[in-house]
Amino acid sequence: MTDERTLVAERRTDRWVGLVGAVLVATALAALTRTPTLLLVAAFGTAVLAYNGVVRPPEATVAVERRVETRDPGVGQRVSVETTVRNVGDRTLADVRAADGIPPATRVVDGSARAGAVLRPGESVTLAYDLAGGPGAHRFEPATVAVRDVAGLVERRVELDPSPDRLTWTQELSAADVPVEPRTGLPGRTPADRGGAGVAFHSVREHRPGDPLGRVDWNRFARTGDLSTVEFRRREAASVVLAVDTRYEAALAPEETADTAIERSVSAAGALFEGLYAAGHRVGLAALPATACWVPPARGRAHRDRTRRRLTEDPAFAETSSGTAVRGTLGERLLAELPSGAHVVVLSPLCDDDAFRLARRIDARGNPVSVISPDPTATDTPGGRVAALERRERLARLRETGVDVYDWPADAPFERVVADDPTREVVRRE
Amino acid sequence: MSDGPGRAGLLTGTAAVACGLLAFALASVGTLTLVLGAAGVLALAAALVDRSRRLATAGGAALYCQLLAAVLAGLGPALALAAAVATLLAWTFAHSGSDFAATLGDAPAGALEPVHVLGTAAVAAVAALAAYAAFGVSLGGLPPSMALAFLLAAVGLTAALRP
Repeated sequence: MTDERTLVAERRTDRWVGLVGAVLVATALAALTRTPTLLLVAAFGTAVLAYNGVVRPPEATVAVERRVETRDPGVGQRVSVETTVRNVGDRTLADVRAADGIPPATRVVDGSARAGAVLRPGESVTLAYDLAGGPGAHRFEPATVAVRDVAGLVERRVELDPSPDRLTWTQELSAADVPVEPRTGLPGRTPADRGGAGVAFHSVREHRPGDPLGRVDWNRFARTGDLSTVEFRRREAASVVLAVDTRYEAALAPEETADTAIERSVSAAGALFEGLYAAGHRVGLAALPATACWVPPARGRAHRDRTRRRLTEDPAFAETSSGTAVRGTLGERLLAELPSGAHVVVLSPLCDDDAFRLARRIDARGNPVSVISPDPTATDTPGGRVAALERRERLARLRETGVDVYDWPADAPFERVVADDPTREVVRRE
Repeated sequence: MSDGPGRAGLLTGTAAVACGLLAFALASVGTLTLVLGAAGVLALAAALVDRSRRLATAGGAALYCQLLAAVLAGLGPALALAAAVATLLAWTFAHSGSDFAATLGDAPAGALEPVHVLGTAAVAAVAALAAYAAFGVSLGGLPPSMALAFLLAAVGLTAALRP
C-alpha cells in the first residue's frame, strides 16, 4: 500500500460558470421593471455564488494498494488486477473518482480500471479488472484519484504509485521458421541456388584448373573427351532481418479484447528468431519505423541474448512507443542498414500502403522478402469489410511479384500458418 | 467494496429532467413561459441521451428565461424561488450527468450519484433559505436602488471570494 501522494492539480470544475451573468440579468431586469421578486431570484443566485466562492477541495486522504494475480504471466494470459483505494482520513469523501494507471501498451479486457465512490473514513473501493498485453515488461503508471466537494465544484487530484508497478509477459521460446534464401556464401544448412560442394546435384559446368578431381564428370570425359565438373547444391546460411511493424497504424485488432497485430507480430518474431537461429542463420531485428531498434544479423551467444532482450524489453516493440512514420519514409533506416542479400521477413498487418510499399522497395532492391501478416480486420461492419478487401488486395499484389506472403488469421496458431503454402490465398468464410 | 458495472450519469441526468419538469410546472403561467419551459425540458432530455454539455446549458438557459418571463408575468416570490432552485438543479445535474458519464463510463459508481444529487439539493436549499430570509428581512423592505446596490455588492463579494 502507498500513501505517498503527489498533488497533480487543484481546480474548479466551473460547473456554475455563467451564473454571475444570470444574477446580473435578473438584477438589471428587477431595476428596469421594478419587480421585487426578481431580486429574490438574484439573491438566491448570489447565495449560490457565495457557496461556490468559499468551498475548497477536500483533502485527498487516500491510500492505494494494488494486487496482481501474477507478475510474470505467459504471453496470451490475462492478469487479474485489484487496486483498492481507501479513505485513511477522518472525514467522509463525498466524491472520489479513481483510475488505475494501466501500462500504456496493455488493455483492459474485463472489468474496469476506473471507479467512483463515496468513502467514509476507513472505507475503500476496489477497481477490479483483467489486463492483457504483449510480450515484454510493462510498467504501470501512477493511479490517479480525484476528490471533489459534494456538489462537484472543486477538485483535488493526486497521483499515487503503488507496488507492484510492473508486469512482464514472458514468451515461451517456441521456435518456428519460414523458408529463407541464403545469399551470404557462408557455410550453413540451407540449400542455396548456387553450385559448389554439397550432396544434391545442381549442374555441370566446364572444367576449370584447380577443380577437385572428385567432382570431374569422368563418364562424360569417356564419352566426349571433354573435361567437365559436377556442381552440387551448396548449403549456406542466410542473413535474415525480422522487421516488425510497430507503428500506431499496426495497433489493430479484430475486436477490443483481442491481441493487436503488433503483439502478434512481436510474438511471431520471437518464435522466428529462435527457429531461424537454431537453423544456423544469422538473424537480425528491426522495429518499423526503426526509430530506436536495429540489431544487424549476426550469430553468437551474446547476439542471441541481446536480441531476445530487445524483443522483450525494448520500448520500440511496445505498441504506443513508436508512433507514426512520416508518409513514405517507413523503413528508411532499415533500407540504409540492410546488408546486401539479407532476407527480410516483414511482420505487418498491411492495413496501409506504407508497409506494402516498403516490402516492394526491399524486393526491388534485390533482397529476398517474405511477409507475415497478422490479420486484424473484422468483417462485421461495412468499413471493416472494405479494410479487409483492401488488405487482401495488397497481399495478392505482393504474391504477384513473387514475395512469399503468409496471411495469418486471428484464430489460427502461428506455427500452422508458417507451415502453409505462402503462395496460396487464405479463404475465409464471412 | 466493489459494485457491479453501472451506467454513470443516468441517475443524475434523470434528476436533471425531473427538476426541469418541476421548474416547467412551477413557472408555466402563459404561452411564452410554456414554450420556453418545454424547450428547456426537451433540451435537458436530449442532453441526457446525448451526454451533451451544450444541450445541458441550452436547457438551463431556456428554463431560466422561462423563470424570468414568469416573474415578469406576475409569478409570486415563493413559487419563483422554488422554480429558481429547480432550474439551478436541473442545469447542474445535466452537467454533472455528462461529467459522470465521461469520467466513469460503465465503471462502478457506488453511491456517488445519489449523494451528489442530495448534496447539491441541500446546498441549493440552504442558499434558497438564506435568500428568502434576506429578501423577507431586508431586501423586500429596502428602496429598489438600495436593494440593487446591496445585491451588486454581494455579487462582487462572492466573485472576490474565489481564489
